[in-house]
Amino acid sequence: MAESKTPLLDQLEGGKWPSFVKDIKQAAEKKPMAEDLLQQLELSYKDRIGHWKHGGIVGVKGYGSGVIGRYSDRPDLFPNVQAFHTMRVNHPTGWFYKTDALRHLCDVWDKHGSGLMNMHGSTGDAILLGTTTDHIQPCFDDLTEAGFDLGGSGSALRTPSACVGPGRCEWACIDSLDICYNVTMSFQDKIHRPMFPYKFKIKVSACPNDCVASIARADFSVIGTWKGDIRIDQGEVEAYAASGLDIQKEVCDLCPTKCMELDGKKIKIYNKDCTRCMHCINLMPKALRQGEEKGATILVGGKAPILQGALLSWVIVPFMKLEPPYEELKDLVLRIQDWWDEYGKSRERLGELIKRLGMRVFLRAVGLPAVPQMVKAPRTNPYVFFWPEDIKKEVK
Amino acid sequence: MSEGLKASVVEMFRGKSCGDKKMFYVRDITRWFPGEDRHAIQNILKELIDEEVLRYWSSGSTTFIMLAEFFPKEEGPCSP
Ligand code: HEM
Ligand code: HEM
Ligand code: SF4
Ligand code: SF4
Repeated sequence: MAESKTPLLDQLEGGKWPSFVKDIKQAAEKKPMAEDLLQQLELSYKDRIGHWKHGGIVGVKGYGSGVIGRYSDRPDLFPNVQAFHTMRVNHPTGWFYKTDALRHLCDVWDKHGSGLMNMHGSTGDAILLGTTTDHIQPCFDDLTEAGFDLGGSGSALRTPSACVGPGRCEWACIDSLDICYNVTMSFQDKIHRPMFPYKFKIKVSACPNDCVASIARADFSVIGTWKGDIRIDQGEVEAYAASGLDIQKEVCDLCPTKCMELDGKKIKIYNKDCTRCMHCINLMPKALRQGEEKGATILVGGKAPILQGALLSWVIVPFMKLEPPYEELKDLVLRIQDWWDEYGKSRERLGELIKRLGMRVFLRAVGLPAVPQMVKAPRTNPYVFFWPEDIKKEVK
Repeated sequence: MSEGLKASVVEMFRGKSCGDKKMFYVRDITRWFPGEDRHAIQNILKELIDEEVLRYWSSGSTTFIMLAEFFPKEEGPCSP
């Protein structure tokens, strides 16, 4: 047997888990581009350095985002990946595809690119990896014909994303799919023509389980929630106990606010202390249902570490009713973006700007009242919310 | 929209691009015109990009704007 040209990469195929190396090798049987990708990656492992250069190219005519330019810094060795641009395709909301749409997407990419795709990137888009500059426009034209559009990249509104919500899930408190689609269509200009200080992400989860992790990954997080008492079916509670669930240990003791009590065989919830974390409902879906009045909590400022450390989103509106056409929500997004656009430094995310100028300044600028739910943790100084004139009003 | 303001945006770009630095954040550009409405400048930038006087340059995570004539030529095995 011939000696392998990629001994280092081969090791990554050794584990029990699926390996991207295997995938690239498979693509390499058809595409010289994928073959060169493999070899350049092997060289990177050997040299312990990335061999990609950042691009410049941004997209197709009329667009300032959606294409991410990448070039090899060793085109002498790997001519087939001299240009290896990424195309971000706006995924269908909730990632629902029909198989013919998926096939169509694959066909377009076999025609114009390396054939390698990443389903999906952390922003949500379908990521098409590796094409040349002259293929970008024709590829876009074919994608458009198949009903797809490019997503956001650079200092733009990134492709909004949402959990599958009411499409599959009984816990959905809001129509995450419709909200996400509506926001995407309303803000097309912000997605395709970057004018912000940096990226801005909107994610919608239909309940506090937060399956799109909007609290950690979005500048603007919409998370479905409810008002009113958790509805209890005591008969089903008994059935869970009979089936072997240790309700005291697994449910009550793990309630973060300790607001549940097992009274003999019946469960009691002190709803005023419930933070709507979903734990009890997740464990006993037949016995417990969310309160009847549904809406969403709006949070801002989540981000992963780049210039500064990671931040989780912060509650700014504890409860907002969300019904089409979602004007209140979109209006709030616009006010927030406009404030950030005015005061943010280049490459400063919304959460960092709020940390720098203060929540008090932010709230006044976007016209929101300070409410107790905004206090992130007790004993961090609560006074930050008050303006001198507010204090004068209080202390008569 | 004021054609005068549009012309001064281009003029400003030419002045600022004399040195090595050719790419600017949108934020920097709007600050060149402290008296003007930020949104008006942004709309002018979009127009100038449509007219291919200016071009976007992006690393993938951050976007810059530059005069189209300074946009780097396609690099490759044949380029110097
Ligand atoms: C006999 C004199 C004092 C006693 C017995 C006293 C006692 C305390 C106690 C028990 C706490 C709470 C500590 C905690 O919760 O961990 C506290 C907090 C505090 N004290 Fe004093 N204190 C005295 C004098 C002072 C003076 C003279 C000052 C300032 C000049 C001061 C400033 C503060 C501040 C800023 C806090 C923190 C408040 C916060 O956590 O938000 N204390 N003190
Ligand atoms: C070398 C000198 C000092 C050190 C190392 C120091 C360190 C600290 C630390 C570690 C905290 C706790 C911060 C936290 O809870 O996250 C704190 C809180 C505090 N310090 Fe100091 N401190 C110093 C001097 C002072 C002086 C001179 C004053 C006042 C005249 C002062 C007033 C306070 C107050 C009021 C707090 C509570 C702030 C709050 O809870 O919001 N400190 N300090
Ligand atoms: S976030 Fe909630 S509603 Fe959305 S899919 Fe997850 S569990 Fe279901
Ligand atoms: S939802 Fe969470 S906080 Fe509320 S009662 Fe259930 S476990 Fe407790």
